Amino acid sequence: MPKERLVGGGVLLLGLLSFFVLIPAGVDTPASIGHLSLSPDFWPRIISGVFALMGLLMLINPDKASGEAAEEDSAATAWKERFPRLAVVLAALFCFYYIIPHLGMVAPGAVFIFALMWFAGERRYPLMAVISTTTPLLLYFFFAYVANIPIPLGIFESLRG
Amino acid sequence: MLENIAAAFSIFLTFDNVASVFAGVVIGTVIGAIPGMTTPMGVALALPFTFTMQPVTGILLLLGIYKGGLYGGSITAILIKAPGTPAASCTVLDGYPLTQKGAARKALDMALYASCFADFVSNISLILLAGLLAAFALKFGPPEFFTLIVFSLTIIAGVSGESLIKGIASAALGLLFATIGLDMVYGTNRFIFDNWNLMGGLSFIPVLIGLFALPEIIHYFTGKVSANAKAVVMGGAGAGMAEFKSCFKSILRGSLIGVVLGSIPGIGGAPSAFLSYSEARRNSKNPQNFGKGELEGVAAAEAGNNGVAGATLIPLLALGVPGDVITAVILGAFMIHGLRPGPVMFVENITMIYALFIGIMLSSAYLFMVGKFSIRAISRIAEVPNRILYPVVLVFCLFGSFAINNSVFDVLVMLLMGVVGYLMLVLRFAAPPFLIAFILGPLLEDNFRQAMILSEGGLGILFRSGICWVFWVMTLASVYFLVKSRQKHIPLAG
Repeated sequence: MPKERLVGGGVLLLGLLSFFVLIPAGVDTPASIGHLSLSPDFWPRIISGVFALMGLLMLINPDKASGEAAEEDSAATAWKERFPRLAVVLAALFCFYYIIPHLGMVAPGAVFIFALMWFAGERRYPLMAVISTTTPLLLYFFFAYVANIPIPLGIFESLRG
Repeated sequence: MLENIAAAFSIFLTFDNVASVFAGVVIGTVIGAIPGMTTPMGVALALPFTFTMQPVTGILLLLGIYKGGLYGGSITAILIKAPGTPAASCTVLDGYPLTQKGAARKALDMALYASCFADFVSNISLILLAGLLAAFALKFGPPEFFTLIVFSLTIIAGVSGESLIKGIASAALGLLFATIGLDMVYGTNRFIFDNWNLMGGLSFIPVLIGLFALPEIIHYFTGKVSANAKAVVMGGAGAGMAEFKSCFKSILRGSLIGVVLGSIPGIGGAPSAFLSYSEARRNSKNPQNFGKGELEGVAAAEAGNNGVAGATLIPLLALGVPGDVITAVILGAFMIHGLRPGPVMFVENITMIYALFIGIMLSSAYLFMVGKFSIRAISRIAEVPNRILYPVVLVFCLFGSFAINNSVFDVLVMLLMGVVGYLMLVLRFAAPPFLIAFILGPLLEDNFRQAMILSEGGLGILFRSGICWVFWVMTLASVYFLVKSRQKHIPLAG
């Protein structure tokens, strides 16, 4: 099955899932409503229907140009090579999110920049050290002292001036 | 009126305002010149920095970035065949061949002259037309606004990339995400699932940053993005008055095309640039030179591209309807400052509107200065390797997302939207339709339901006035022309 048909099938499935499962489970509808069009689930149902319809159209009549371009993308960098790097980047991003309450944003920000620069192939360590430490510090000072937004510092909260 | 203008000068003439326009133009030009960084990304990243500024100062900063970004996109288009913005892709056609011929300086100069002139023409159009349109818009009720927003949504056909079906699917996803939160009529839960963070819906900026900035960065780190920018030797003589005069007809024509297309929500800079370019080629004595390094081709493309800059603000200021992704972000900035662009603003905040007009006019002059004196420096910044640039931009995204509501949850929203955006990128779904639908979705639903309340469920109210009919006809015409234009230009762009 061509990749575009698979994508169309996925879109159709998501649309149907939204229509028949997500909306009944996630949208509270009052017992009495004036008109059908005023119901809280009226709009989401129409949108889900349109989404599913687009999936169906892609399934029936896959777009050749888009499909070919997507195939080229897949061929250019095999998923086998791409996936481990993707996993590392996503893991780093979500780790950053989960440690904000504990370590704040500044110290992890410095480590994050340094690690990503290294991951991307940069090896000029003094330059990496300067950029990775100054960027989050400058951002912190801007937000904290110019914009009055208390950027979280986590366990380093006592250092806040 | 003179009193209002005097009051506007008193509001505008502060160091902060004058400096923010300048800073915006510089930042925008730099961002536009960096392949991989887009003007919407730059405007979105700058948005959190405007929270504590005065409304005029903050909005002028964003407008400066917008205008600088439009011009900056042409720099790398000419130098390294990598347009910084989609609209600058037309500039590549003749700009890069000129660089290969050793006339990069001439091409850059002409791009600057055409950009500044078109920007000036567009600004004048904004000042003359926005007020008239706002007075007309006072006659709008929910059915009229509903039809207007339906018309605005036709933009989706223009920004759907290579597949219209995927563009519509992307827009439907954006509309669905926009329904998250409390229902506007009954106050009941929609897709909240007991998470109180979702009661107010998804924050606009984390969604925007996640959708635009993050996917490109993730894509780069997975090893897909090629960053093979070569160092460019700035060669050749610059363009002077003689070259400007020889291209003037095409520049003027392109500026007017930009004004007309820019004032229609949803058309944007790219179709305008291509239309201007094709008209210049059609009217040229040397059409065979186009595509091989014709200076007039650069002038026409840049005039068409920059002619939309002021004009896209006409529907934003007069009707409160964003004309493209960037003005949608700027609409967000107005809202953050408690302002609602539209006809009421022309009554209640006319001095602020005039102050913005003054700043916008100043931005044209700044654009010329910044472009003229910093072409060399900007092209060097464009050579900063992505392996250094992207980690820094990523931390900007994380800090910016948090700063909007002091909320770690917004950081999570940004990351999740980044994953959604990355999937869309890999599967070649265009992101702009999602974003436009996400922004216009609540307005569309709100006005539709208000109209239904007024008519007690009768759909006839959506055709109650001449304005409604005009917008229905314009919607049909716009869909027809956009689809025709897609058929014509996509093979060219591809």
